Amino acid sequence: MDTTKTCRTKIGKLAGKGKIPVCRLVPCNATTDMFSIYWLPYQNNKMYHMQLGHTARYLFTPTMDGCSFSVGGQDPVGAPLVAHANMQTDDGQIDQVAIEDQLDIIYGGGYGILKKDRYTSSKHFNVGSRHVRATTFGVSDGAAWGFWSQVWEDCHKGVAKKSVLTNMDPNSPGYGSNAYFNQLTAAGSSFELLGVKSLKRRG
Amino acid sequence: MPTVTDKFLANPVKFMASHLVVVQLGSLNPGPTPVRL
Repeated sequence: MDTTKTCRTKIGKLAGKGKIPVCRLVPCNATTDMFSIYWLPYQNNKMYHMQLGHTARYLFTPTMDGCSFSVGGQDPVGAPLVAHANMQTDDGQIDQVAIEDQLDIIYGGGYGILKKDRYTSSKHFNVGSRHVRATTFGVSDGAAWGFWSQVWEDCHKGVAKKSVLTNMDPNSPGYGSNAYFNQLTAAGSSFELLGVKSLKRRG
Repeated sequence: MPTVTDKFLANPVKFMASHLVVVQLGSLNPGPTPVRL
């Protein structure tokens, strides 16, 4: 899961033709130049979940390269229940059935899910088909949460090649059900891509 | 001169649309946690 080892500088640049700045999100004990986030952890073969309030305006979770992120609960906009799940088979592969079994237990009904076969499939996000990562995050305006994920390909010793940002808008029809992401990914024009970067070299 | 964090806080979604953020938080406890970019 650690894709940061080649990000040696605080601000870097994407490899290859990219020009998008690369930042690291790091722990901080300073009193300035910092902000608070809800931190949804990850661990192999476990699921973490938490109910969000508005003590912090942002949510981050570890880089996803096989895990699933889900959103739901009784108030999926104002106080969403979010989960980061990594269940594995005996040979260390992602066990999506087990993940969704766990999610069914905690949600007891519909939920939105961003799972491996969605974000690692180039036909959905067009960022490559190997070593695809997702930086998933949430932003609250103080009353409502929205969720997005940067989907990017990790290539050449962990340096990103390309990044897109996909919107998991809780106000979209179908939010809170598995069908939501299926709908998003079934037709490229049905969801909004924010900030798809031009990878053309300047000059 | 705005810092990277300032830029994020000014418009987090716009920031995330124009930057790649790699999470490097290790084993912090769940919940509200101070961080910086």
